[in-house]
Amino acid sequence: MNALLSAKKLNIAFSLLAVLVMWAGWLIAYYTVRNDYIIPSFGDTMAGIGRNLIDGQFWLAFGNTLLRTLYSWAVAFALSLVCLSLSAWSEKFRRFLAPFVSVLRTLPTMAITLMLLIWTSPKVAPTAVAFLMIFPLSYTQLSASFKGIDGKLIEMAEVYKVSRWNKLCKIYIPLMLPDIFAQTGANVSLTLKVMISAEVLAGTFGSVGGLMYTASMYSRMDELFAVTILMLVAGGLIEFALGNLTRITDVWKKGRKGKRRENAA
Amino acid sequence: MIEFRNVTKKYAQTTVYRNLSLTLEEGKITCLLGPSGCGKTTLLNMLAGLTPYEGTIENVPSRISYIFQEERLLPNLTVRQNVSLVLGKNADARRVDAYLEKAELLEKADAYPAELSGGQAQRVSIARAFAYPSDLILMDEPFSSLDTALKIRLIRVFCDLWREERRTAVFVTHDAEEAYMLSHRALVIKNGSVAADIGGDAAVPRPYGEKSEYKEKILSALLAD
Repeated sequence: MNALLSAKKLNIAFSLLAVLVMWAGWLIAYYTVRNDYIIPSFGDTMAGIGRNLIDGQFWLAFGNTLLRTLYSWAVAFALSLVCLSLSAWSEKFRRFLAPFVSVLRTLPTMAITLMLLIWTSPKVAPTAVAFLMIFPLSYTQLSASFKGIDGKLIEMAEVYKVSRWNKLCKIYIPLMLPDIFAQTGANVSLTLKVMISAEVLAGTFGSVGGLMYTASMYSRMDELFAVTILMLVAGGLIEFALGNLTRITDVWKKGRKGKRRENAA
Repeated sequence: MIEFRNVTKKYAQTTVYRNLSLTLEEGKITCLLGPSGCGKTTLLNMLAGLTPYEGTIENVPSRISYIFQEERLLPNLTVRQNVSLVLGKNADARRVDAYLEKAELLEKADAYPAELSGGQAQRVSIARAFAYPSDLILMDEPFSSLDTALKIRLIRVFCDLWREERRTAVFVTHDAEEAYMLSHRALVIKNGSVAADIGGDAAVPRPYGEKSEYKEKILSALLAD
């Protein structure tokens, strides 16, 4: 327990140190460049953060972006599950799907955003881009998790003639949950990043990307930095909050009292 | 009586069994011994339907229990849930608890496998095998990773459960002492065939370390070229 607390304290200490180094770098860059249109001052940026936090328009924009992000991620995740199920059932389907996943994985984000802007609208394009970027990642992760399930447990289930439904609900899904929970935070955070990038390119009104686009258009670097820092914090909080999902499955590994197996009869 | 007739099993370029024929007596515990890689586990897997083969194996029961070398418990289910899983829709809580009690695991019924010791986990595996209404129990070196005292204890747990129902059982071991303690008949497998078929007397379990003609025959068969 003491070792764990020390590790946690050490992590916090190093994280604070990293933030201090980044802040120091910012200050050095600001006083070197001495141009607020290129690098804003720390004070102006903090004021910008404060303004946004009490501005209803910011929260509306953040809400819209977050909702679109969650929607894109959820659809990508759901489709990944469907594709995984079909791939597990049919090797032919898996081979058919593989090239599509490869293409989506290597598609340049900017290129697809520009195409979708022509084909759809500034509101729809970012959602579609985020979905197209996250789906191949989600599918690949789920596939790896599925393949990582201990084949010996499946063999045991085959011998004991466990029903397909029970295999799905009590073996496959639960044994994939630790990986799913571990990856969800990072995936949602990544979706948010892609969403904002696409919104900037699309100039989507009433979105975080739209706020950033407007700020850059009027050379408001303090506003741009402020919104960027707020999104960094938001992304970090999302990862942290969703990362705690793993506690649900941690009880399997450590038991209810956090004890590991002893060497006894 | 389970009967192997001209069973051949090949893995790529290697022939494990060629025209193997043998019978397994009902209601008895048969032990398969032999050097590593001789095909003992393969024989169990053929019985369990886990690996294809040529030839026929007749009268194989439709329901088989398997006690593996590693306990193969689902980490996300408690001890009670792991045993209930194999019973499916017919899972009777009283039946599950009865077998857990016989295996001295009732107080651990709500524990997860991560909270169990190696011996406890293997006892769950044994309880699961008996709770499942099978007519054949297969065991693949179930005691190999355990120390002597624990091994003797688990063999007694197995025998206590077996004596109530006397199901046909086949187990694989490379340990002559285990074979002596637990089996009514020992088959020594060498070069893809039965090199020796040795019948034992007296009830199981037999005492550990006891001198006996049955054990001497097993050892001689194992050591023979």
